[in-house]
Amino acid sequence: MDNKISDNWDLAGFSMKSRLIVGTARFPSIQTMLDSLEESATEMVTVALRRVSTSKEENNLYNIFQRKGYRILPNTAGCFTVRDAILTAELARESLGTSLIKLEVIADENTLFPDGENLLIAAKELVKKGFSVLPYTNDDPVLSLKLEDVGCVAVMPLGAPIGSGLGIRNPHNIEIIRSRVNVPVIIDAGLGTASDAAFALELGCDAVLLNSAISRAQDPVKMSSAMKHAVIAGRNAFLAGRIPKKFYADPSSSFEGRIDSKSK
Amino acid sequence: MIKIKVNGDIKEIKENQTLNYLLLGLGFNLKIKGLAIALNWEIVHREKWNLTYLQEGDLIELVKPVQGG
Repeated sequence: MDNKISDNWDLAGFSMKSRLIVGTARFPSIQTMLDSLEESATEMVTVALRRVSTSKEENNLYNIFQRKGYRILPNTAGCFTVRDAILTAELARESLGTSLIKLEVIADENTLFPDGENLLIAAKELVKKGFSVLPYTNDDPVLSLKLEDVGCVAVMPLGAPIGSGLGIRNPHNIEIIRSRVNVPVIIDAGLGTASDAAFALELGCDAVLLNSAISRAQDPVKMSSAMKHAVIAGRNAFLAGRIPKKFYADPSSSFEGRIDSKSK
Repeated sequence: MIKIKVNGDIKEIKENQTLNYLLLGLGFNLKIKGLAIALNWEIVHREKWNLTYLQEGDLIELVKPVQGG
């Protein structure tokens, strides 16, 4: 399969070919996860940091991802306070030797919506500490600009609540974010199927971050393939420049010289 | 004996012991990759584990990367 896409994109100083970042949670098995990552052609995968009680070596993710050559993007998933998010980011940097951090500061357990106020505080602090911060944010153009202003290397607005599969609920806001922010815009959360990913790229986003849409599909490996093609299609459609939307039809075949029994 | 908190649980250990001693007591392989430690909200780098002595009331977090989105 020709996996070539039109152009690379830069994230925190790395040149990336794939516009898919894939989360590694909730796959039916480690093997399915690895097969899905392979099929998706992703170059960057996310991990979480969790308390550990003993050092059983089973499925040491660090070793697996290092061997496969994936760039690792640790997250601060599950952090509800600035303090917990900052400590988790620092532990991630120590654990994985990367200053990349997907910053989540969550407001409540039901919506898992970002806590914008504390997200901005944590982002500012982590930038000061030398992190390359990728904040998971609401689809809020004002907050996105503020996150860029404090030095985030990308902004990652949600399409819809995490794991909801509802797609991009407010494409207009995403377009406004894209038009105002200079750093990469990555849709993080809420996508359900391939057309959602294509749509994100058509709106001008640089990439999408997917987890549940792949890991909880009935066939995660096949969905990985679909997503790989979707982001390529979406990006190319964006670059190609879509036709303007019109209210009435506009014939593709010329009317000139047509058979027309209605005319005299 | 002193009381410390490891990953939220209170533990009793001998006085004047290092992080390495604690880890070995918990059954850790000290060479495991990806293990990161915070002591009282500050990171302790791997090369300092053996030089860091634990005190009454210390808060210790031991974490590793896991599957996440």
